[in-house]
Amino acid sequence: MLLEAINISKQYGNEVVLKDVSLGIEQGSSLVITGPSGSGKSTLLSILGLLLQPTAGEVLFKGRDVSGFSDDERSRLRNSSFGFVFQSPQLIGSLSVLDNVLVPAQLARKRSLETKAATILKDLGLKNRLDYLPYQLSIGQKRRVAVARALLLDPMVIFADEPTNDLDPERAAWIGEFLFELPRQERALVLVTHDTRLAGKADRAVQIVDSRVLDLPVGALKTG
Amino acid sequence: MLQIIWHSLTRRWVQSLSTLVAVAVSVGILFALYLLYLGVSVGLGTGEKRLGADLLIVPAEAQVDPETVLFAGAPVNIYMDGSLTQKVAGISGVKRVTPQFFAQTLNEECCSLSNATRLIGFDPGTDWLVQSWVKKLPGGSLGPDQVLIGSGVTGFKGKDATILGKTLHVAAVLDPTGTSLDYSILTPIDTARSLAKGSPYLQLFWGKLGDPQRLISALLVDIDEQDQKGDVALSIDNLGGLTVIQSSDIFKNIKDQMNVLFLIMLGGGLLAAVASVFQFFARFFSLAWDRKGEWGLYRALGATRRDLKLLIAGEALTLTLGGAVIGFILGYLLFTLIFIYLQKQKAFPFIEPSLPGVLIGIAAIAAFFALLGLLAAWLPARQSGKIEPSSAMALGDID
Repeated sequence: MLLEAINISKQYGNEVVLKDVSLGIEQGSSLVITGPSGSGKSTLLSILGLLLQPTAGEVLFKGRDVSGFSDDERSRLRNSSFGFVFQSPQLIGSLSVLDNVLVPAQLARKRSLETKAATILKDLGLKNRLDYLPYQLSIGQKRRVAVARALLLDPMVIFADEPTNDLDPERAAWIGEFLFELPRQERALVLVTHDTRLAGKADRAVQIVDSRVLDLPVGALKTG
Repeated sequence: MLQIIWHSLTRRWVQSLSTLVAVAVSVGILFALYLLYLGVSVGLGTGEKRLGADLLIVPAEAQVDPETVLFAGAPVNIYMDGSLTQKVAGISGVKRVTPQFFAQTLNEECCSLSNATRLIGFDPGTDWLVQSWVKKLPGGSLGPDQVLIGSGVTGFKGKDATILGKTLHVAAVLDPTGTSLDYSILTPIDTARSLAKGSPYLQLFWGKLGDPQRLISALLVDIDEQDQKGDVALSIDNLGGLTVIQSSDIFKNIKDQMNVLFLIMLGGGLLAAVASVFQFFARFFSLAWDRKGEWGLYRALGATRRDLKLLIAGEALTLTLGGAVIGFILGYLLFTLIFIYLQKQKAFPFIEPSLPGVLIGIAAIAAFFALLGLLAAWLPARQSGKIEPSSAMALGDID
């Protein structure tokens, strides 16, 4: 198992968001997390992505318990092995498209990744937008830049939190196709979405109900 | 990391530039003040030590400031009867007396100077001021065809100097003294008199005062007891036709005047520094609130808390040290302008600050502003340590 959550619980004060959640994802596979708003989908994604510490339980990466890692160790692991596509693209407004994609490399003190960043942007159909500023892009283009940023350092797991939110069906489908290509490149994909068509493409889909995880029949989702 | 710092500063270029300029102005004023203070204080100290005479006596009718005689190299053609040397020497309390005879070079004659340079003739038999250098010369004396060149006389080329039509050999260049010696050419008094006698520019004086061989320009006097200085000065004054200048008074006056100037400049410099400190603190204080989103994103993408602190400290240091570098250049230009202006207004002792002295000033000012920068960065750096990477999940676009 590449990434595994074992008996994860998360509580904010008296409010229990997740309770005894266990799930895992293999290398080269995809997992979709669905559920109503406020059910704890993003919280689970944050815990799996080491952005948030669980109240109880363990997170294992390549069989190693990483939930007990120090803050610095978790930061380094996020930088080297995880890629994030947030609900909002979160681009830095005054940086060009190319410079936004290069931010993780700069944090990792890695140089000479401009060509690679440009290639990824080209693959995402943004070849002619490298010098654009975020305000000059459509929401769909911004999301593609965020995907490029997540892919720059060849992460083993991509976490995407409702990446097709606010997109028209055509653009949402395009982003979905691109993301679900990633498991074929031996990466794992963890996706939070309300979009049942997108969920139908996953190898496994779960729903959070009453702070617990229920497996969904992927076949049923595919057929709608 | 450096790229992120650079991007962060350049994308907020108006704020960065205004902070940079504020630091540069403060550093510039303080550095100019430091250079002036260093040059004047060393000049005063060295001048006082090198002048080595308690009293300076010039003709009463001489329309020159004592400071001009002591500290400026411009020619002062003042003359009095040479017999005064013996009269002054005979006054009770006088330890020793030596005469000097002033003449001048012609414009651009010996050196590449736009103005004529003072030629000082000293009496090798009684002098104790120039002798300390003369003793170091081969043979321990200055020949009648030799000159000593002041350290501030520029444009001198080679070993010979043609002065008033006569070629003289340059025996040595003097160390800086902070006095008029730095801008003068020194030669034995008889040589100076014979050169002056033939100078067409000075014939007017000889027609009026007689043969220059009998004349002197100034008397330098040392007294036995310092507490008798006033009495001795009064006795000399009573001889009539003389102005007695107490050198310590001149140095004290100059110190007082310079202190006023320095206080004004220091006030201006400190005001500018305080303004820049406020601006710096305000800028970095607002960072703590304005950039939470950006820092949260960096944390999510893998920045450690230490990385964020480094980013913030790096920005502060880049601004302070960058501003300081510009400030040092501005400060040197300001120092040059003020120095030129002051020299036009008043003669005062000055010795060009030494390289170690300048470097110490640069290091101290740069360290002071770097410390201020780090202090200003402390609060946002502390705030950044509280930012959780999960905060990125809830953010929108970042300006």
